[in-house]
Amino acid sequence: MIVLLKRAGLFALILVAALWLIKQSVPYYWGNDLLEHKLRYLEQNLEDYDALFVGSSHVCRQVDVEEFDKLTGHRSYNLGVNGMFALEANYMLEKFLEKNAIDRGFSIFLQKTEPTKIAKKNLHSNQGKYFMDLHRFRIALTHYWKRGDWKQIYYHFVAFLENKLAIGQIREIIKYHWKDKKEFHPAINQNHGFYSLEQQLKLESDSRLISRRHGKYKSSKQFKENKPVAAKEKRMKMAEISDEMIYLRTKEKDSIRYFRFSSIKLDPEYYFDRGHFNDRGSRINTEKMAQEYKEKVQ
Amino acid sequence: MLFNSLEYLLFLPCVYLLYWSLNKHLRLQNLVLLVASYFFYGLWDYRFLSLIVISSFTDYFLGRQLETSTNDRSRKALLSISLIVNLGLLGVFKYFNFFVGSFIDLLGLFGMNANAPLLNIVLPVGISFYTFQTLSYTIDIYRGKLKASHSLLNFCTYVAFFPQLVAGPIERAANLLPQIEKPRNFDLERSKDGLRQILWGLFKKVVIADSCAIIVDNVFSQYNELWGPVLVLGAVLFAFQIYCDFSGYSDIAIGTARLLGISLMQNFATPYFARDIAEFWRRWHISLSTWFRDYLYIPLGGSRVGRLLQFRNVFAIFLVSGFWHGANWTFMFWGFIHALCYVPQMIRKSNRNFLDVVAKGKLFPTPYELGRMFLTFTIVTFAWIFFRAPSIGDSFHYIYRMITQSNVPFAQVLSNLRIQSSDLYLIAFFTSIMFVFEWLSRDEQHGLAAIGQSSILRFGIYLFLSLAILDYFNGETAFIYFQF
Repeated sequence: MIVLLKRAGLFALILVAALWLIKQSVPYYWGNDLLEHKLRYLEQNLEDYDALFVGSSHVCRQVDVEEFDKLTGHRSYNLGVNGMFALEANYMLEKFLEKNAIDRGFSIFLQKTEPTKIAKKNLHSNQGKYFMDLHRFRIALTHYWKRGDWKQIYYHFVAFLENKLAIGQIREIIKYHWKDKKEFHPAINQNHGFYSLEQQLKLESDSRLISRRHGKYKSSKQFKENKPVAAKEKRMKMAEISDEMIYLRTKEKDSIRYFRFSSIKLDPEYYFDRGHFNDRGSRINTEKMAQEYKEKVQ
Repeated sequence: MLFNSLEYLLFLPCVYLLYWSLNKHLRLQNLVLLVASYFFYGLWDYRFLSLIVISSFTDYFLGRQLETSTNDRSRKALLSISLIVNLGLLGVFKYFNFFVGSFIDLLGLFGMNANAPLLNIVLPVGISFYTFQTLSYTIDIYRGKLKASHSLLNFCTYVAFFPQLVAGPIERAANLLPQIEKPRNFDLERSKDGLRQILWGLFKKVVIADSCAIIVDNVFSQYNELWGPVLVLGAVLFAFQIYCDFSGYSDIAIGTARLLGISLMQNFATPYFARDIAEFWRRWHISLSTWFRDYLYIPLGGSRVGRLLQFRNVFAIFLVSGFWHGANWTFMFWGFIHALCYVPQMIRKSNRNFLDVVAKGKLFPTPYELGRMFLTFTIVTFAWIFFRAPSIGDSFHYIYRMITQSNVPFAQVLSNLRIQSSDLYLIAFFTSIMFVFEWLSRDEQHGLAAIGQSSILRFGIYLFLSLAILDYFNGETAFIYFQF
């Protein structure tokens, strides 16, 4: 039996090594074309900006940075991308700051800082396999360990392993090396990274967006009944956060200020789909953010 | 717990190490198997464990009684109790709603309306498999072909043996029970071959069956809007899907059992290389077809009766086989088509023409053999449409569109499927690999049994298959035969 275990162990080791090597052939943020597109643009034009908004689609689709800049005097770039989890954003920032030294006054606005829960439906999907390093993996495990959330510990373990070993990603990685990179609409760069769903629909007429806009949810009782609940949560909160809260291990901590902002809910007419604002909603969201920033922080 | 899950990847090594660390302690080994089997099943739904326990206890005690009883009437009564309990459980959980629904429909034909209560229950996974397994035990004791087990632990382990508990092979007590009752010795070669078979089964299930399933589900759910060639492709891909899904499961089950030092019967023997329908049925789901042969066809008289009774027996076995798969007329019709194709062979006494593997000892088949294989595959695929479609009406409509809506270019076929062409090419590539390997191993137990002596070549193949499995792995997708 020892012979069999040794051989099986050796085979498993070689298999893991092969998978790890495959994964090493792509950048750490691989899997999100929009993020790659935005990072490339930002690296080339970093001098033009003094503020960054980082987060998920709720940042990308709902923070109109031009509007924010008008009210605050900043020069901001929206680095929000669909499906970005808090620790992913954190890791990405660390890598970005390592590569691009910033020795001037700079503000970074983060949507969330705590580890994000992985939904069961997203386990094994690319949405669930979010990129992290061991440092952040430990943070996530500790976070859920303290809460006794064994399911999330398991989900994070699976997601981490699958991401590091390219499980379920090999064909996509091969395509990534062989195929041309995905082209995005120039409006994304012109808007400094902000790309509302309404604008995307106008410019790209994506059929999936049409169905999202007219989704059953928007006309449902459930959506309408959200109104009183939503109305209560109109207040935007923003606060400067300490280094400990963001787990970054970069040298430029002194020249950069970090802020965390909350999300708000608006009445149904300000939504494009179930979870994202339309243009009017985005403007209100950004105005509230700028107002809060000016009053409480700036 | 599913074979294609991360849980099983952890579960199997734990069971394996614990099991072999108790070598020379047979009772403890069997206890490990039993606890592992109940845990394996209980993770799906622990409440239905009670059904397995009821079935096991009933047949264990009835078997003991049958062995000691000499009175013919009481022996018949004991066998009847076993049949009633086992088929009763199966009937309630699997067929009750079907019979009630069909009866209401029948009354509706005569203008009568009736409302009858339907059961709101899920079908316990594997009930059709372990019911048949325990039934074979009592029937064999009744016939005097088998001695009753005198250990409840061994018998319960036989019924619940986790590798084949939920989707077979339907193992006869005469084969499995003696292996459970005797000490097992670790055999390196058998364990290695078990691992190979598991790898091959996972490849068929995760890489081919699950990829085909996406397109097949797409085609069958909207066949009303699709063109003929797309529907042909859907039917062919379903033929690949159901084979790779079910034979993949069987390979993993048999491979797992071999790791534990137990040999299960071969359940599939390259059925798509069959040269006629009779040969197909000697190679497809062998454990079920031989079960029906031994416990239904032969008791009815088999082929040793008059011509009309022979027809009756053939139709009976195929219709019941269809009905075993599910409580739906579509399965019955599927069985009916196979019976229709089988009967002419029986009349011409050609149903045992092809008992050996095709092109035995040769690398390639003759054009004649190739033609026969193609024809058989076409008939089988045609019948699968009835198996897969939600109703018989849908099946005919599907076939009608397949024939009448055929004038469409290939590019449109791809756009009609709403999938990337590369996905289709990859399915073709992996399916070709599967058929080449199975062709080369058609005399063996599984597709990796004859891949040569070169250790580098073997290693390369294992690595390639493992990478493909890990790439296609997207969570746990249930096996088709779990629903039966």
